[in-house]
Amino acid sequence: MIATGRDSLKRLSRPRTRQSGRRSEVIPFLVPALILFGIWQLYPMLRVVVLAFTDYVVIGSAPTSFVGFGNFIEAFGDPLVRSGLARSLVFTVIFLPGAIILPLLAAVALTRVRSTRLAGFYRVVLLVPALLPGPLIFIMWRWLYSPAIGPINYLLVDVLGWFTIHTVPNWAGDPTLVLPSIVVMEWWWGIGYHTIFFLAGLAAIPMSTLESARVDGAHEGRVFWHILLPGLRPIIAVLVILRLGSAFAVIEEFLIYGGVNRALPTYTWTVYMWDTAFKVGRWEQGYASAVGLIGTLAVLALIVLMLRLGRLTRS
Amino acid sequence: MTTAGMREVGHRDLRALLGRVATHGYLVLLVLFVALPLLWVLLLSVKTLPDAYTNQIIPRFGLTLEHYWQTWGTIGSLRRNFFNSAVVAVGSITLTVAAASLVAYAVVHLRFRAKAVVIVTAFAALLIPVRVSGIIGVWAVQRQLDLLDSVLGLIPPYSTFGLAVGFFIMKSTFELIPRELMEAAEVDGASPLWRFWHVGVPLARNGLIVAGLTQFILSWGDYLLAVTLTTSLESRTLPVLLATATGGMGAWNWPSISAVFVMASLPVLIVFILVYRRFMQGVLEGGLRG
Repeated sequence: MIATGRDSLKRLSRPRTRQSGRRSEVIPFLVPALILFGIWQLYPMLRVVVLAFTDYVVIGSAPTSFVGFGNFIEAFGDPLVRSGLARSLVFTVIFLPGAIILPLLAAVALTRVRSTRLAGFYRVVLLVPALLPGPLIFIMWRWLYSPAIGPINYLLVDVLGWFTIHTVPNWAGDPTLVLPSIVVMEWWWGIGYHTIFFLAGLAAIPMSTLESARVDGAHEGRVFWHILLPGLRPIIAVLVILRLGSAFAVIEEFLIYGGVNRALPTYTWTVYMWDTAFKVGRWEQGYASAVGLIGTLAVLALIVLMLRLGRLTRS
Repeated sequence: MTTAGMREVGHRDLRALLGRVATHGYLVLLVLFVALPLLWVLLLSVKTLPDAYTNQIIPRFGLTLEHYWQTWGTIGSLRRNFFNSAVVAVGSITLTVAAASLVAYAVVHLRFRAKAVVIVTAFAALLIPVRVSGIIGVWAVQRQLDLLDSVLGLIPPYSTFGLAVGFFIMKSTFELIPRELMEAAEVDGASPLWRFWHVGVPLARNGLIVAGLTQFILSWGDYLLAVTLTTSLESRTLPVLLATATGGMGAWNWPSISAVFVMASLPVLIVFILVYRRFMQGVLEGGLRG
């Protein structure tokens, strides 16, 4: 993605070619997307930024006034904002390595399967979770984890006998286990989709480089470290950045696992924002916007930090 | 051949064998990890209640489809919610794919100044979790346009949040079309829209399928927007209905929920099977790399 972006920029600066010229002809191509983007993405985001500096509430007739940085000052002292950000960070840190490494290895393994039929079978099975609706997956897994009737604990207690009903872990209910449990579910959901990303990346690595390295007697570990991994760098970078943002802003999983229960680690900054804006009390959307903005800025900070780290490891 | 040489060959064979075992072992483990939960749900949906509640893996009372017709017939709003999801999916796929391919085509094959702005904006929209952090603003827009609690009203926000992904998929697809082809059409005096529709679109079919399926999955599986922007049972989509389902003994017993899961998963799976070949082609042509 980054690479193609750069290509397009290069193309822009190229001297004028025989591409069509009149500006009015371009307008119909941009208008539909501009309308959608303007009304349902840009304006909402700007509105959130403005609201964050007001004491706007939805329910009741209290007049709205600007409060400057009041919401932000309050938010930084708010234990729910702090714990919410910390919980999202913990979730992201547990999630990210597996979300990259498991599918990366799967893609490399898939290219080594000789039978195209078998490779196709593996690939399709791994891709199935990516085709299922998210909420359905969350409910299904919450039930797999269920201490009373879930098949995982049935396996652990009744089949393997490793635990009794009293000692068996409550995967989705125990505050220390619920985030890792959701992470495993996320890996399950994304593995096939991410594998395809890596397969597309591997397909771009010239076969001749691989062949000559193998002929020279380089064993597979060296091929992996010195050819495949550097070749996949751009894809890894894009996935890390994209998943970093989406993992830190996860909300639906948490709503379905923990609802708006503040005691559970599923009550992250996103849930707190949503809860404040649409559920609790007077729907204090001014304050909720500030919380959302802080979370969003934290996402951006994490992305910038990651890009810096990436640049450091390259040199 | 010397003995040393033979030992060398032996080592190589052993290493190759170990490599194959590791490769297939890893893939088989992953396949089991992915498939077992799905098979469990599939099996549960055709089990009788006594088998289901005693966790019988091999059913003693035979298999049954009763949970399917029972949930489809008795859970009041299920058919309505299913229909709502379908309406929103069809509407937003059409809108997203159309809007995204128009912009992508313009960026690749037409000449205008703001190209870099479009690309950077789309990239930013992909990075910033706007769907979550902008939800308060989207709710306000829907309220101002009187679109709260409206099924059709969900279509524009759904389309918008798939726009950036769709744009990158279509951009890399249109980049595969040789510039010369477009220039030849231009020399013949064809207008940009004519060229888009008669030359660009037919050649971008695989990319359109990747973009369409991606938007199908996004809209079919959304929970946050639907639960925030709709309130009545009649205007809710399937995922919101499902999220309220908890296992028990009533209409929402686990075999029934499993049956609804299977039904809810089928539309995307069926479409995927129908377009599988073109989808994979589209992906390998760079559809997902953007």
